[in-house]
Amino acid sequence: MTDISKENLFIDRLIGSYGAEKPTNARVQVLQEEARNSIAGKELPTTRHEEWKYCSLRTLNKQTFVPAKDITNPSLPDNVGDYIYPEAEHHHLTFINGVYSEKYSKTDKLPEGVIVANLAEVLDAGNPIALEHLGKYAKWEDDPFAPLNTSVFRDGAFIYVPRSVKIDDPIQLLFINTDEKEQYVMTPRCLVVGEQSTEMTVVEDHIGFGDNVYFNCPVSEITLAENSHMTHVKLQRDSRQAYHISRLAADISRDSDYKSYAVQLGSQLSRSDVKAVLTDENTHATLDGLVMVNGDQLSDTHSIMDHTMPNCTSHQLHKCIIDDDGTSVFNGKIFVREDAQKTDAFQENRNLQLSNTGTAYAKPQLEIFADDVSCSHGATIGQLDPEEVFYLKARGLHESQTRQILTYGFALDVIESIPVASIQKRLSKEVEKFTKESQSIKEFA
Amino acid sequence: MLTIKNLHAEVEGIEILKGINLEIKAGEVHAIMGPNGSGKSTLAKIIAGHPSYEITKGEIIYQGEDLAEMDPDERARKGVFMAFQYPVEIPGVSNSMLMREAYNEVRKENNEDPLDPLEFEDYISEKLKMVEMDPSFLERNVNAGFSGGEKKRNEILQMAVLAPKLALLDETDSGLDIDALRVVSDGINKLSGKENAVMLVTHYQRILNYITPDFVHVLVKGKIAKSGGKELAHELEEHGYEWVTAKTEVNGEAK
Repeated sequence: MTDISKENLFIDRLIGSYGAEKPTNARVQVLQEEARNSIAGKELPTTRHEEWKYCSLRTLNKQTFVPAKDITNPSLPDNVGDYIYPEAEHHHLTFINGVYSEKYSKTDKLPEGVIVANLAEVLDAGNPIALEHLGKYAKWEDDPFAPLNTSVFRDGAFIYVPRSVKIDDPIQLLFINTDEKEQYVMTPRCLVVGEQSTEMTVVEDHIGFGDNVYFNCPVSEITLAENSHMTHVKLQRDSRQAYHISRLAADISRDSDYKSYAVQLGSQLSRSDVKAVLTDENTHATLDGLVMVNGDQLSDTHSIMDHTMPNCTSHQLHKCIIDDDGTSVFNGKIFVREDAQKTDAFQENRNLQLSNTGTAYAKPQLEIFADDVSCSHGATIGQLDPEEVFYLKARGLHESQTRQILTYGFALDVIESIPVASIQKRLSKEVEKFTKESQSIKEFA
Repeated sequence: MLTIKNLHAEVEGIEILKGINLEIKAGEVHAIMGPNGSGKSTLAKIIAGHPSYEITKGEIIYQGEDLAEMDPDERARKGVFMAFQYPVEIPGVSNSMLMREAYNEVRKENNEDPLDPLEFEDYISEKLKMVEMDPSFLERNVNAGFSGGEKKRNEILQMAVLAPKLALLDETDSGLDIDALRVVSDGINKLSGKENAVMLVTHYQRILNYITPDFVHVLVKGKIAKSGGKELAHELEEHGYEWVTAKTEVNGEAK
């Protein structure tokens, strides 16, 4: 056996590359140090670890990355503005390789008291609300990636909505990742705090502009006080060679409704761990997802839906389209704690295989400690229904057209539930592109 | 228009059609009747090109071409249409999108320019009236959440839009109440003319009170046991299918 010295460990190397620079706020300093200490000397999980069984980090382990902030002159395309959704024209924050860009950000027309700003500046200024909630929710057992983000993050988004305020238009957080020769790592951090009776829509959009290798390791924390409504859309369109390992934690209070729609299209390896904790009665959570993988992409979603109190509902529709040698993994845990009587939990994972060589792993995991609950879960892996194919062909549609339409139809219910028109349009185009390029569909015809 | 010669076909190794001969000319309406399991639906599906059935012997000639050589979509573009016994629900695809795409494929086949959504809207509005369907049906996903009667009317609407040369109606009347049957039959009557032909597969004589066939064929165990004019349907109504099966069988064997 070869002895791997600690200096060679991925996490240590990565954190070491950030140097000794510290944030100005003392509390953030402590938080970062704690996080650093918790993972120092640790190795990345291997496939022997149950939670990483189908998601190998071996190639990531061999990579070396420089902090993205050290790339001083990113090769930025001149059409960054085109990536702002028209609905978010008045409030959007743009990050270039994880670094906040004032030039491409705009926050006018926000209701009074609302904060949409760079998290680093907010923390430097000692904002007590941000300090109170930061790092409180993004916690997973045996997980190195949330602490990794915590130990080195600087820029990110802070969104604060005061009591009884509704923001009509979506707030967009645009993460532009440029094509560089150097392999870089970024750790964007988002913190969203909604006070009682607030309403908002937040769109998180990660776009890779090249085909380069980089490592995107974002963490988002959401906390909603009583009677709040939030829709959270995440689009992952990172470079086809990128690693995207993200963490999302939502803490949802009484009478609140949190809806998350996560769409994974890019990256060679994407892994997202999402967690919704329903902390009080009559709360509702949605964690829907759409995954499209082709080539040799792997996309792994691990979710936790934690019902702790009575009369709550949850909804999870996770759909995957797998082409070529792509792999999709879904592991959905639902906890229904002893006090969570009258829980109504729905979970469905549907996998559509377009090729004969793709792989889908589906694992619903229900742990129910209450006795008066309704929990349904299902997982399917299959190809396009031959009767549906025949029906459309019998109407004169070509084989490839038929398969494109049916694949689009498969994805559509997740797309349609996203309440931002231009994102729906964007995603329709993405599905169209995916099916038009599909070699498996062409071979059928 | 359609000539079927000594057609044998099987599904999963079981022979369903055992030598069908049939000639359908433009302007004719043929009713294919028969007891359950006689192979009448199979006949319609084979003409439409359902992939589960295999032709083992014989041929189907449509407008001088061998149909067995064509994919189902090619048959459809050349004017063969089947109204399904069990129309398939297609989630995520709106009725109007399907019909516009399908109609534009037929137009392309006939070297005509495709219609844009607005032009298509004009085109389809009169067809909707024919089958007494509300325009809101167009925006719904194909057959999703439709009642049985709505699904069958939707099939006739598609037939009206595509204006096929040969329409195969596979038990379109089964399960319909009288009102829906009247609407569906009216639609079929309006759509049949001198240039096209209809093959009506049905279990019940009732639809023939609304649609007058030129020929009636009774299928028994994969063969046409009896052919005749419209009066044959009335005789069947009176005596039941046993009347034909008894004539053609002795102790279960064909005479």
